[in-house]
Amino acid sequence: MRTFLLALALASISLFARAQDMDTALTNRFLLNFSVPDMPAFKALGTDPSNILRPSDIKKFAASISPFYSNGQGVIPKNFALEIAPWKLLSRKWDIAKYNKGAHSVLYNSGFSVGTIQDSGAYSSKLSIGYRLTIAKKGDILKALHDASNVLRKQLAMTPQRFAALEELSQHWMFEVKQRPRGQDAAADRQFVKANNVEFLTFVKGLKGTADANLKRMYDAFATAFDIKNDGDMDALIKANADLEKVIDGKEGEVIDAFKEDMWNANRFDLALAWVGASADSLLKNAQFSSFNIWSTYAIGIGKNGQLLLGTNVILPRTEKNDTVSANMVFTGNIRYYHGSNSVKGFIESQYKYQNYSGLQRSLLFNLGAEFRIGQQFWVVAGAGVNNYLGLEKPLSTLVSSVSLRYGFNAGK
Amino acid sequence: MKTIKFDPDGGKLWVSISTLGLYHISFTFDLLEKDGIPTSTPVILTAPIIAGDNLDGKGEHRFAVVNAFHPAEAIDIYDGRFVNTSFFVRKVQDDAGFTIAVNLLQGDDPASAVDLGGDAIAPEDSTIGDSDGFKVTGIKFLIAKN
Repeated sequence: MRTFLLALALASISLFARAQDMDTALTNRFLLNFSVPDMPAFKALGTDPSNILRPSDIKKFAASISPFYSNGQGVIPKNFALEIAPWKLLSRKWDIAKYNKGAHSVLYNSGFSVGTIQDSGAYSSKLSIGYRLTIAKKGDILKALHDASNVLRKQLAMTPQRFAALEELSQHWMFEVKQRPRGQDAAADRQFVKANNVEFLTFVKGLKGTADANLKRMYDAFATAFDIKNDGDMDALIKANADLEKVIDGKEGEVIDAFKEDMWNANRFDLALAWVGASADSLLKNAQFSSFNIWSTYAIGIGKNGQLLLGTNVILPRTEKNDTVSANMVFTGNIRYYHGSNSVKGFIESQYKYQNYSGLQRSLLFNLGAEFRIGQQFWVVAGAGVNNYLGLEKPLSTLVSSVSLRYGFNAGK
Repeated sequence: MKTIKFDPDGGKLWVSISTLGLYHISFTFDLLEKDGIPTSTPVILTAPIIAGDNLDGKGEHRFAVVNAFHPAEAIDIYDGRFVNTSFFVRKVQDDAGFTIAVNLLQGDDPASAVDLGGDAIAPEDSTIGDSDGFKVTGIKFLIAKN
């Protein structure tokens, strides 16, 4: 028993240092390859029949082109957009603690985009500049690791009650599960502590609901001492220990992979703005204000494979007539549901659009599509649907479609 | 692509399609909604699409430029829409080429409507065309208010 307590004491000291280790791990080690998000500057140009801005983990650098396929013929894309997350790009020396301090996470998750399009209107060249901010709680791996290191710190603050609870439990555990070999060298000793930390906690978890009154008392003492209120707290403790071990061993790839599978659809919120200028020719100096765009999208995870997006978009286009009482405005509300995994998913969508000017004022869009990854850095997003115009004297529906190819650069080196 | 200006407070809009030459020329005309999403099918506001030919011997045909789905719309809403035409030409007899002109007119009475301008195609080649016929690149222009 004394040996075990000594081991735990060692674990406390070394794990405490390691909890610090996790917080001092560089953010660059934990980059996710979630799908490339929609770029505000691209959306603002109206290349996609759907106005929802799909939220996702921001890339250091991303590019998007569309369409490369139109009416059955391959065409050279006349429109493209680039997005850069400057603080993410410059965050090579940021550690997890710094990311979680002050406004660093806001800066890290901010991106600026620029896009252009050539089309067939009176103002054929359009230029757009956009800003986006992604706010994720559970889906943010850097927050999750910081939380885990807080859990570890809390665990390692050893009070007399904790020692007492561990002492009692360890008697059973040492007998029934592990017998620490004697005479090991220091490295093997650490290995023992490391393995035992997760295994020991798993053993304790298994005691919950035991029929043995003695063991139950011990479990309750442990739960009280370590502030375990429910299964979730216990799982968080075990996971924090397991993740920490992987990070220490340089196996963060495993942590990232598990995180991606579990969290691709975690709740997140995106806020974006874009300004669009238009020019009758392709000269920038002739550009005039064309529209201002605002998006907000909330993504809600449903089960392991589903994600529901609720989005709104307001466009304030240039109002040309001076005698117009109210300014031009376009409002769009979207509901989109994704089903699949991080690398391949399909979606269905419905969109209601209202504009207070021009001819076709109200429309309802039904859209189907898919998004999938090619290699590590390319994504294809395609959709097609039917747009129904409402409130007309004769029914009018049109087919709509869109394809875009996106490239996202997120590498750490 | 040309832009033809109209008076947003003026009368109705009309399109005039004129053909010249010893050719059988059939045509279609439709009005396209503005703000077409480049990746999508343009919204066609003419239903059914207007089609005709010059076999009736008339050198000119006039049609109302109107949103069939909302005929009561104010004229200034037509700002930014497109007049779109396509042609199929078949040679009847050797001739020094053909001329096709598409113009926008404004006025409540089509007979006296004012010509606002338009665009034309006139290949100058007497051997052009054959009796099997061929498709000619259509005329499309943007209509915009003054």
